[in-house]
Amino acid sequence: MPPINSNARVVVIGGGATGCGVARDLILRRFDVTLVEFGDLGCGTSSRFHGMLQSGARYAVSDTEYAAQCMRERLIVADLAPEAVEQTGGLFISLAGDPPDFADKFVTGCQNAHIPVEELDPDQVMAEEPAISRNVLRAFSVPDATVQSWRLVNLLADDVRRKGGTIFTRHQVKGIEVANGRVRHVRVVGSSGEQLLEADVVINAAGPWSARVADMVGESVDLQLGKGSIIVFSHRMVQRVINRCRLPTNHDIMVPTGTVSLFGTTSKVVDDPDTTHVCPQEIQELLDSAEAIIPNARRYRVLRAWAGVRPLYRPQSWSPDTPLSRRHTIIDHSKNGLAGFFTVCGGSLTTHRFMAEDLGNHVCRSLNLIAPSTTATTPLNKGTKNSSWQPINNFLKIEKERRFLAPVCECEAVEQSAVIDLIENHGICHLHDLRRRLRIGFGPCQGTFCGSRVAALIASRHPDYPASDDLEGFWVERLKGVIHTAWGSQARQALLSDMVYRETLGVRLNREIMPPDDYQ
Amino acid sequence: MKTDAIIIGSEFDGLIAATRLDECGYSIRMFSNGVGSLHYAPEGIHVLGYTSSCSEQIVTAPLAEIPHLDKSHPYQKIGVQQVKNAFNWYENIIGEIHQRVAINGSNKLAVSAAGLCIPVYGTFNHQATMEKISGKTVAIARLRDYRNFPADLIAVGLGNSGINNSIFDIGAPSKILENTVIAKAFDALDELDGYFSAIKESVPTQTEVILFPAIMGMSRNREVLATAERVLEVPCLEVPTLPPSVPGMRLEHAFTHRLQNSRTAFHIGAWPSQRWLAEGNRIVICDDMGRRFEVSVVIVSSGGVLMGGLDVDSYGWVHETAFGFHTFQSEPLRAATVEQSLNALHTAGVETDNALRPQRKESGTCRNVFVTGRTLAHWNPAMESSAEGVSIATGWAAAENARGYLETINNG
Repeated sequence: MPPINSNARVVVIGGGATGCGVARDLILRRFDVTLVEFGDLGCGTSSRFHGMLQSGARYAVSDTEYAAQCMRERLIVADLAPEAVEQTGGLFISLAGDPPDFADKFVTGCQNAHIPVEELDPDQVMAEEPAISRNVLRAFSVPDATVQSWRLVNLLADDVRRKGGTIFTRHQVKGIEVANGRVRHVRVVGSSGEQLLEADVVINAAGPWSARVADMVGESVDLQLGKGSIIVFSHRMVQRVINRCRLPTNHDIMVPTGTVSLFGTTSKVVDDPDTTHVCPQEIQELLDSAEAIIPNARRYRVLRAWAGVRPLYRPQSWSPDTPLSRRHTIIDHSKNGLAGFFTVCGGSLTTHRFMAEDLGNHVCRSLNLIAPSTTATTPLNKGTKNSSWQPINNFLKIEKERRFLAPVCECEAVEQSAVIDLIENHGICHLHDLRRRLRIGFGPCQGTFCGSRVAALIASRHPDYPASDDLEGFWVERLKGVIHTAWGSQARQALLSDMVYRETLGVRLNREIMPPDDYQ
Repeated sequence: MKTDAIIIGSEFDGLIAATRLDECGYSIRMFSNGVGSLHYAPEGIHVLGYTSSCSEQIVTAPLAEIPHLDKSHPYQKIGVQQVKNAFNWYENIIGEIHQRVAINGSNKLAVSAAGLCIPVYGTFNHQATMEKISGKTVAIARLRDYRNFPADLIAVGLGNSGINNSIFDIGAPSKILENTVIAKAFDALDELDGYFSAIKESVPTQTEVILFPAIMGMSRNREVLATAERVLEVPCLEVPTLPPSVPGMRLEHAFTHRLQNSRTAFHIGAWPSQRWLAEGNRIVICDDMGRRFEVSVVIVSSGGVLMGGLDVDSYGWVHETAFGFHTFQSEPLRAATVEQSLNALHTAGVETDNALRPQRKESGTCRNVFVTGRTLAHWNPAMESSAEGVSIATGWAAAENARGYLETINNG
């Protein structure tokens, strides 16, 4: 076996929270790290969930050890990246019909997992959260929080770049070359053509796509892909994350984030990791369940719906009648005779750092290196401590300066200068990529007005920018979510958006934009 | 006061119907509850820009295409001859109350707010079309700090169409950079000559035509642009901005003023309550303040889902909001693709017979109620690019049918 120094070259496949977390962990252990992402950072499962930074209370009864892990990680993430975390706090409410003995088990579970839990007076909770059901029997507060996943992922990626790592977005892995039972190269294709990346170690952190990546080297990773759909209410109807006080199940969680609230999630086993289509009956299921928590749910405006695919690892020992664990799994494929190839799967965004640490330990052990993880203690973001993120910050700034007509995106109060900075200084020149970083198009108008304004800013700096294609792609992506929830005001919004794009801007829908419903 | 007809909603089609009935000597009341969709419509008369098949072919001769549309399409219900009559009437009236519209039987290509082409049947004098600018050196006027006119997108779009262009910056005549405020500030400028003289030196040399955002004045628009052309010595055209649409408002004002100058009563903010009853040939409508109005004819031009004439509930059912008329919708409203779902939303609406008369659940087809424009089912203004055309045709046809009905009862 050839000697490998501590500057071993690692290629991380997948630019979600896991991949970026792994890249950061390994670069802090002085590996030479290259990350390859086939889309934009965090555009898969990392952003297609309810946005909750778990205190672990949700799993306090079903999996106390995992709950404790969540609690530890939740504190670390909030400490490292306060600008990506909103400290909302969480509530567990027992409603009529919920198992009456669960509440006491829940308290014990939280205590065992070291999750601070406090029983609240139901009347006080109902007074503080006027939108929720009047039938709250018991209520508990826990330290749940919400996380801006794109912000977090980009903070991790920026730190990797700063420390000398390379990140390729919009690059597809075409093949992984193996010689003498060891990974050697990763072949990637991007806008600049094909490249061969040398690799001593390859990390498969591709989430629901992990099985496909493993397949390139003839390995199998048995995943259960669960599609979860979520609807976004246009109001912050609750101030804290609301959970039902019962065993975690489908559509029972409401998460306030920014100016909106997310409600989810449905759960459906699917085969294809690219399945992100929301079925009409899922919307009805979600609304019916939301009504239990928020009695007027159907009368609120719903902005859009989306679905993400959660990859859960299916161990060989698993029997179909038991629920799959939420914990992560690390597979060292050298046990099958392929050295230097690791897969990390399962887990959650909350525990991404712990997953990365665990993986890093596996990698070091396999290379006989001693290099402890320092991700928990090394500050992110150039070491400066930022204040925690507040959705109202942008609005306050505009109000203070009385620049009401200045933002390019009114809904999220995004100013032109922020867009220009990303275009000029970070080379971001796609509407979608700007959207993920700045939240443009996230608000009630869903890109109706900001799309062309931002496209004009890109066009003024990139004369060969394919404006109409990018606008069409942006519009379609927004509509894809809106069309599922097009009733009441949002139906009017969808039609206004259609009029603005087609009749004012002259953009036409020329492509087949959503696959036919394949599993209804 | 005796009233012959009440128009519910002040959509474009309602204004058309009212103007036609008023012209024929009938007395009218208009109920309206907010702005009409003209506030979102770019300039020009869009009659039929695209075929409704998936391929979205650009239509060159819209009237010739009408017989190929679905039988339930409003144009088909009215019939080609009536549609032609409506456009002839419209061409006369618009020249009289607003400005002349150029119609020559085929679609032209208008310049969109993103510098792309949109087929349009009737164009106004200062509306930018590809015909007017092709082969010329174009200068695009970008208002400093004004958000609703993506000049850089227009530059890219026109460049892709092979039109040589450049951008120059000008200042707005108002502090608040909002479409209507700027337009009214142009109206209020004492020194129009001075304004354009001041920007003259920033116009790139060799400019053969200037494109301005379509906010160059509200009521004095023609004077503003004529001054610009005189001072800058090149043709000056307008390109649509993001909504609200100033050209749409100009059109709306032209009709509203005409109706106000006759005896038409406008009830702004009034909406009929659900209680209404037919008493012989008279319909009694109560507004939301409990006032009773007795009329012979009701025309519903309350708009589609966009303007509130229709509503969709969270289960996916479409309702007509003023009277609860029987609606058509493709089932289910949510289809397999975004395009189909959007189309389902657009094409949902009130089902009528060929005379545009709706049905009520309890009493069958109404004899003296007519439905127009976006409230009607079976057409898609955005995909077909047919908003103004269908509004004019159905508004006019509803007025003609109402006139026929009024004549019968007055004679009988």
